[in-house]
Amino acid sequence: MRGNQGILPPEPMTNDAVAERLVRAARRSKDMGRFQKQNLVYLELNGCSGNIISLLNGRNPDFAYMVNDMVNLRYSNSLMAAEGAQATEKLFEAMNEPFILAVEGAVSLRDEGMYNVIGMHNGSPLTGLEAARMLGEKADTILAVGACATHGGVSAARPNPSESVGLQSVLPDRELIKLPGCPVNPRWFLGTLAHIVLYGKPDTDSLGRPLMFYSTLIHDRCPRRPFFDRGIFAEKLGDPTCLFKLGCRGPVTRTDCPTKEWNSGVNWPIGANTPCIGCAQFGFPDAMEPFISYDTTRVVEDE
Amino acid sequence: MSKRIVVNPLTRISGFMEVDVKVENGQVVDAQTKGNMFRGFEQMLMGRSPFDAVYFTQRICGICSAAHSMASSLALEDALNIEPMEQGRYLRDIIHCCEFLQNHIRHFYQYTLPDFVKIEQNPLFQADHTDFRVPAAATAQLSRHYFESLTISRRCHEMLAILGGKAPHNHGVFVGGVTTKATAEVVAGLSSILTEVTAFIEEKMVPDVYEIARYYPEYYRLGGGYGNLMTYGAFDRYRELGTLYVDPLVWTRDGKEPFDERKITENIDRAWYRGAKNTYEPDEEMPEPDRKKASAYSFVKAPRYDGLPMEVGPLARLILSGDYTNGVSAMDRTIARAIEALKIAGIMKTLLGELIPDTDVQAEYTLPETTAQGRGLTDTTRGGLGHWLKLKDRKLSFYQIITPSTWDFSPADDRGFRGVGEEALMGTPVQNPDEPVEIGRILRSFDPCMSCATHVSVSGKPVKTIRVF
Amino acid sequence: MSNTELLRMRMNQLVTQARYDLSSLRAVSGDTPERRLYLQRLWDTVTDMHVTSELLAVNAASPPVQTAGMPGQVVNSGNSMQNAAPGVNSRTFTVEELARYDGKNGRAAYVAVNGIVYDVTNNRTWAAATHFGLPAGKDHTAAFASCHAGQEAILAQLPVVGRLVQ
Repeated sequence: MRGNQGILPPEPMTNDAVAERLVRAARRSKDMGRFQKQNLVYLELNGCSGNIISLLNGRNPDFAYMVNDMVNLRYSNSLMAAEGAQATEKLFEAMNEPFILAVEGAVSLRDEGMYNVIGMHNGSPLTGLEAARMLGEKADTILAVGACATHGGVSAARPNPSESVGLQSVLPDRELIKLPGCPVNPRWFLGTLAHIVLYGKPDTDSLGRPLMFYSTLIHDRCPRRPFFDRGIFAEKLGDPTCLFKLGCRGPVTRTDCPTKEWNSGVNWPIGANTPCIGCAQFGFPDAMEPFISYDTTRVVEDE
Repeated sequence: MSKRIVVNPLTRISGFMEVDVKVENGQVVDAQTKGNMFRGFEQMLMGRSPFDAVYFTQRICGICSAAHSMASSLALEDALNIEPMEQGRYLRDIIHCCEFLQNHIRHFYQYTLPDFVKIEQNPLFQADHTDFRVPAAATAQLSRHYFESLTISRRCHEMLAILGGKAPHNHGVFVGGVTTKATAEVVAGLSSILTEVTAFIEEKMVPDVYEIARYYPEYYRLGGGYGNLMTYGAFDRYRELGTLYVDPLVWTRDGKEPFDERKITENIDRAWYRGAKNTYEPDEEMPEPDRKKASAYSFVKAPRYDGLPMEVGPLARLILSGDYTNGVSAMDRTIARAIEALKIAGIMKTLLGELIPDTDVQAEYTLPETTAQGRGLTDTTRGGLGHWLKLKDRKLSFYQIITPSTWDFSPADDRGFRGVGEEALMGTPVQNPDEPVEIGRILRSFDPCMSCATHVSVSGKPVKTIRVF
Repeated sequence: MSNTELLRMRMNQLVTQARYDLSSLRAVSGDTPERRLYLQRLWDTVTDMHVTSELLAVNAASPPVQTAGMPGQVVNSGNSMQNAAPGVNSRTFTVEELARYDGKNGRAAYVAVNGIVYDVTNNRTWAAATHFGLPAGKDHTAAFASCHAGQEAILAQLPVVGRLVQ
């Protein structure tokens, strides 16, 4: 989008700076009358509905600002006042206008989608599979929110009893913005949404992840990196040193957790003396296991 | 004349639920609550590293994930014969308190309030019924509190994250207690946020609940159900502090008696599963899902205590602990949730006062060479939660989960007992079958979490794992 | 280990990193975000090399000082190098012998690719002796081919401990 400028010397790409810039710009452009509220349809599919809960934890911008100033939230199973057939009608009505689609949860393929029914339409069950295809074809922009939507996540963990897949598998021809994480950090979602509403799609990597949040390995900005470099490793949870031997996936996971942390920046998993479990890496959870392994930390003398 | 009403989706809950009721002469004469989602956690857990269960099972539910970390940690401690330090219990229970607070506040303001109050102009709050009785001034205030509560519930998750790393899906709760230490900074930080949260509950949430009750008094008579109450115990039996809330107890027609976990069974007669047995004990069997089973109508299984359906949750706890005596109804349930939030805030304050700074409660744990089994039963936000697990060759070889919403939203069983939520709907007068607002109000008073209730089990053919780098 | 040796190791790693990025860049066409990312990292690597070479020069001119506390110094990021002692390349492993090096209970973590046995004990992508679900102590030739086709540079960064034999 901005060509090569900013590469040399290094652009101020700290996530702090990016998030602050976005929010400031969101406020400013609204004041100038350039801020057009867009419709947002938030679909929950086969998952734990933890991403919408995570969104409620958003701050600067917060959820209230999102629904009052950034978007018209037209459908949300967790939050909308309407219920039953009327709720489903609102989902179909929303498709008559341009809209951004955000999807959390995986798409269950088993028995034609009957393992995840999200409502009733004209007397028939509306499966998550049908809804994902139908809305996915019409949406202007699509956000896959959280690990289950980006690649199947925990819903598709082996042996994948519900035959769940990520959203891309049922929308092979659509370009998705992917926000992996279990759950998504509210900043990743709200910052991406702000970018879409203000400037269009953000720059992404080859896997569809916005670079502003997912460009740098956790390991490369980890405050415990000096322990790794000196080979000082934790032998149990609760230790203040490098959690690599216990199974830390920070070296294979790209997020801004070390600098911006979670829940208004009060803490993050490594701050809680536990390994990163790679929840924002594709392949989570199966490829990120074991999460915690003691037998790779200890030295048994008689071995 | 008879009319069938189907509400699907029942919004403002966690997960997906369908309600199917039959109305005759304006009254509900039959009701079915249906869990419409299936993932199969119990099967997924087979063969995984036992320690991973603590983080893995949290993914069952986005709103009550810490509850699953509690139950799985307790089950592992049982299997590995680990007795956590009392300081570890305090810290872990403090995290659990944070989740109670977050959950109850969100359930009341984000899930319940829109049932009774027309919140400000926003497409999100467009409702299709007209039964809004709260006067304009009070409505305006409640709408403000809707948004103010978002800040407060966010603060609750911030408290959780201070000890737990992040929320939802925390890292702090683990075998032995938690992975973080209480420091002066932590204790002062938590106390400071807790003061803010407590003030909100005291000054706004509790009065707001009673404000709604004023305008909808008939809900004190609706949604009662069986009146069988159960708790696995909550914040109970500390070595030095005793019980801060409630011991494991049940209440049936025969009166109050101690809870006995051996009386728990699960029935799959009307649930989309097949197994060797229709009724089994929690550590006995994992049935396979079968969405095509004709006699069934839900992915939720039917747990029973001594053969009886039991109501679990804040109201059950408050009545069993003797803190609440008004009765069992939809409105009592909603009020109980607010009162319990205040009680939990008080318990959390007590526990914070017991912390000894800089105590490391973690150790290096080893898995047994042979087999082992354990169970973790605890009351969480919505009621009793149980995890049962078995270990073999240092891997999980069995996992069974019975969640609170499985108790409250089970289908009927083979003896003809309806589920607790279904029974609560029986006899409900439905004023306008095209706007059956009563049904949702009654069911939401239980705080359904269908993400949890329908996590259940299956054995399937292994699917090739695709690796992505 | 002396400072000079540490710095030389660091320099070698940076050269490997730069070569790897160059080979990756060759595969990326057009002005994509990915390309910019590689360019950015290459820029950083060159800066690091500059700093390291300055430190080497300082080291060469003065008597050895403490490793820790030297301003701007970046100590090796892959302790793995210590395992690459001379002479070990001649070691051979059967599949059974390789299986012993699973990274558990203090044992090293080795993997085989295309007949060469590599040490991944302290390789950062092998936390808890596992890599995207693959355990150490095994021949991962097929997995490497399917996941890292054209990325042989990855192997060049790993210390070799021997050869896999039938």
